[in-house]
Amino acid sequence: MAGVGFALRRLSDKPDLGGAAQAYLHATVITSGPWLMTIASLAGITFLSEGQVDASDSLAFRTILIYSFCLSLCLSGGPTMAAARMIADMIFARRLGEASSLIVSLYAVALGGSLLVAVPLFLLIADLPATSGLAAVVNFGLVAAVWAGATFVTALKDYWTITAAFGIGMALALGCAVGLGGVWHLDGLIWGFNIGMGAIAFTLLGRILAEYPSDIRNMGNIAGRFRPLWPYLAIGALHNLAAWSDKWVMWFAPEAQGAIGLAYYAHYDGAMFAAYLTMIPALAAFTLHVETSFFERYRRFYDDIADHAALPEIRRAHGDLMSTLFSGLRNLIVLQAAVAAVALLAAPTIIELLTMDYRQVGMFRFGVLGAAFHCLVVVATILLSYFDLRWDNLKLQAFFLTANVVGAVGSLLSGFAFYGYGYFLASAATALFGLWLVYRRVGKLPFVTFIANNPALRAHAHKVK
Amino acid sequence: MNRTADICLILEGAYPHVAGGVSSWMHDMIKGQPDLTFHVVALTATADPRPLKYDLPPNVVGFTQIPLQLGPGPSRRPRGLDRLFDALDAPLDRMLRQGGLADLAAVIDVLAPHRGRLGSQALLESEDAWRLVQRMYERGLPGASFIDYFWSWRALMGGLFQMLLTPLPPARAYHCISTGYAGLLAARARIETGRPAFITEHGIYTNERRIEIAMADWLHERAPTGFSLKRGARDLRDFWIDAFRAYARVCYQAMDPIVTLYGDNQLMQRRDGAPEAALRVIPNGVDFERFSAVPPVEDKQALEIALIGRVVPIKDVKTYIRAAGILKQRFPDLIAYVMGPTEEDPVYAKECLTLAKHLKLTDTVIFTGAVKLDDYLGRLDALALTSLSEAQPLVVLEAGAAGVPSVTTDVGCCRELLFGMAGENPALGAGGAVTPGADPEATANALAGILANPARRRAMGQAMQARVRQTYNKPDIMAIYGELYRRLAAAPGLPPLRMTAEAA
Repeated sequence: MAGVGFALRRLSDKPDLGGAAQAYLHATVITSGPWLMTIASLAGITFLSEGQVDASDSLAFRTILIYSFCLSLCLSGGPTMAAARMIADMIFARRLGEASSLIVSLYAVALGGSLLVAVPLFLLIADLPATSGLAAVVNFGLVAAVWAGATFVTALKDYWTITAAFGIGMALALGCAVGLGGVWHLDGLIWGFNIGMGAIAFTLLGRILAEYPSDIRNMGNIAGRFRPLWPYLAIGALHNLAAWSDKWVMWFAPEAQGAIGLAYYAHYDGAMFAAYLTMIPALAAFTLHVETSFFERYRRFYDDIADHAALPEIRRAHGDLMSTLFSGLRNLIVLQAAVAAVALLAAPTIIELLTMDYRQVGMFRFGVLGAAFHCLVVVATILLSYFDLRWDNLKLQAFFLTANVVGAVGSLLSGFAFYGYGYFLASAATALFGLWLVYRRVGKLPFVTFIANNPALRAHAHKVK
Repeated sequence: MNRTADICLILEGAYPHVAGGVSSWMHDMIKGQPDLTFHVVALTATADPRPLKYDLPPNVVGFTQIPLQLGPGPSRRPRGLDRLFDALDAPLDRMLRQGGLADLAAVIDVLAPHRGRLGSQALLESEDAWRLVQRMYERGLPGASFIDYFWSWRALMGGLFQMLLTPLPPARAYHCISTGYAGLLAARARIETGRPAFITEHGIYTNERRIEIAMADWLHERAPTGFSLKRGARDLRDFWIDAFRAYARVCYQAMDPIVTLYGDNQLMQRRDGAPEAALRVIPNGVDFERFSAVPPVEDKQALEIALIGRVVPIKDVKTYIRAAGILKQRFPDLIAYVMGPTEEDPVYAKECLTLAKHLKLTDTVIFTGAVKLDDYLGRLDALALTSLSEAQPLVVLEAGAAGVPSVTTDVGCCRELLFGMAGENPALGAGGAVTPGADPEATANALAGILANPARRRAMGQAMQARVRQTYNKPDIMAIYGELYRRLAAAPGLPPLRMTAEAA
């Protein structure tokens, strides 16, 4: 973790507004990269392709994108999380020589898994011509490669490369998709988009090849090394499954119109993605807070203990940590509440601006309420990861998945007026549970550090005798 | 294997897992009392089964290995754990500060009803335990490195709780060979069973721990803040030493008699709170019959001396080698044996070999490894013992029984062995000479004084032989212990100490 906070802090310490904005931009990318990309792609295509591309091609393309994004995220979420942990440990221990085999493994898992899912999905199940099916399979693989690459570049704390790659790549993807789509219809849309995705994937890969030593050995060890990290694998997988689960359930709503033979509810997904956008300001602010002032106090707490501090000093460091955490949370809640209030009041206008359907207003409002709490779920997840409280994190993700599925099924059964209501309740319950978990553990951090979460306890042998 | 033994022996880090002086003493003691039954309790650092270095004699009817680490216990938090810790706090604190047996009894009263339901998860890793660590830290060592205090507390309390919670083998009397955790367990046996308990200390445990802790590099010392140069504030070393002193104090108050090998040890026992009336000296004995039967070798060419012991730093073999170098100038044909195993500290052993080589003594200083003493004692003209620390070195007595005088450093009871206990009757005269430690010249001079004067050498040998027969003869010592064991095993139950604790 060392070094991150300072780099960001330097950015935000710049007196001009540009510096601060730059820092927020990075923070946003770190927190919400995958969502932003999904939302930007879908919104961008909807917006840009209007009048340029055939409506049915546009719907088919969006369906392919949704499937690529959500399935590849769920597929690689677990391995990505575990790999992120491993690479962080390797960087910390300065054992980067072992990184190459991990990098190759993660790419292999991501691309292999993509093939296994994407080939039957797009070539057999989906009602697509073979050329479009092939393009969709490539799309799926490229998206998976982006998630894998982002893991290792994020570990380098090279936010600039990520931000630039995503920004330029997305612009390229949208431009090419719309340009080529006008000529070659669905095939053109997908291949055009693939050009942009490829740009992102290969920029990240290039950065990885430049930064990490290429020394591929001990490949056989990697699987064994992954085994003790299974909680991270589960956390990553559950986290993504939870975020997508309500949408999958809603794809089976009677109002949903599928496309290319695949279930899909464009109105629900669109409303929810638009609602997700309301999280971005607060999450970006919080991420910045965590990576800067919180991180400094976090480090001081652990450094003090390791430097043989007396108990009052440890308590003081804990108090400082708690107060910076509370102030960060307070700011987040205030900011999120303000954004949510505006979004709720201005819902019809926003829907209109986004060229969405008026029937999406109700879902959007529930989505905004849900996102307000979902944002706290993300915060709780970040904090639990920071303190390496993996079991609590696992509980939180499992809770969210269960609550979101139950909530969505409840919405589905209750009828159109309640679409989105389940997600709202699930997010609210999960947020409360998550904050409780965080408070319960971080509030007792000295106890947690010395006893409850101390891996050395079991290994400690008596020193006398 | 679990019938009530006559005597329960409680040993920490020794017999039957570790070979050595105390262990072989214990083994001989058990074999020497064939009409008594024993239950051996061995306290070990971890729960891992360890190979036994001795075959347990047939009169050992029970053997229990108890790790010093507390097992995890049930993962469910026992009900009323907060009340238990509240009740534990005051007597535990008193016991560790300046308290005694009544405080230990009070601690046992709190813990005993929960036996089987308490393990490290409840007593060391619960939030209630965490509050107790912090309270004890604030009262005892505010300002010390907390991470070191935490580990120290955990190790000390873990061992203490384990001793108070582990199943206690039934016996008619309990005998421990040290204070520390073994002494705690013996004190607990005395409190809970009302059966007599006694202790035999060869070395003084708290003193050994004190040296170990003073040299410990794993304890971080935080300089006390302030301008005073005096070492005023207590630090973590004091926490450790005070805990072991407290364990010793509690043990001494429960033991009668409190036996040690020689008078000087009693000074330390008194300082750690041993009651005067219970103090007693019973020396170690050697097999006089066996060693006195070793015939002297008459037709040897040169003078021969020996250091008998393990080749380890505490025996200061290097001083002996240097002394041999000085002696060689006067007695060119001198043979100086080093008789003892070299495996324990190979680095030190190699240094000793190198030193002998540098001093051109390869023909003089002979490393024999471990030997059967009977084969060599007849050849020796004198024994040297250059140890930095000893209790009652048996080699001096074994050599003495064979009529070999000794030159020793002034450690343990060497002076008593060579010149007789105060009031020796009849006075037998000097059996050798005592020199300062780490002084090759003094050792060489004292040895030369014996080697150069055969009449003196003979007189000293005879005095030693007579003294060993009179005071240190093993069958006599065995008989003393046999009588003690039988008297204590047959004694009526003592008043239950728990009542005393309640009264207190």
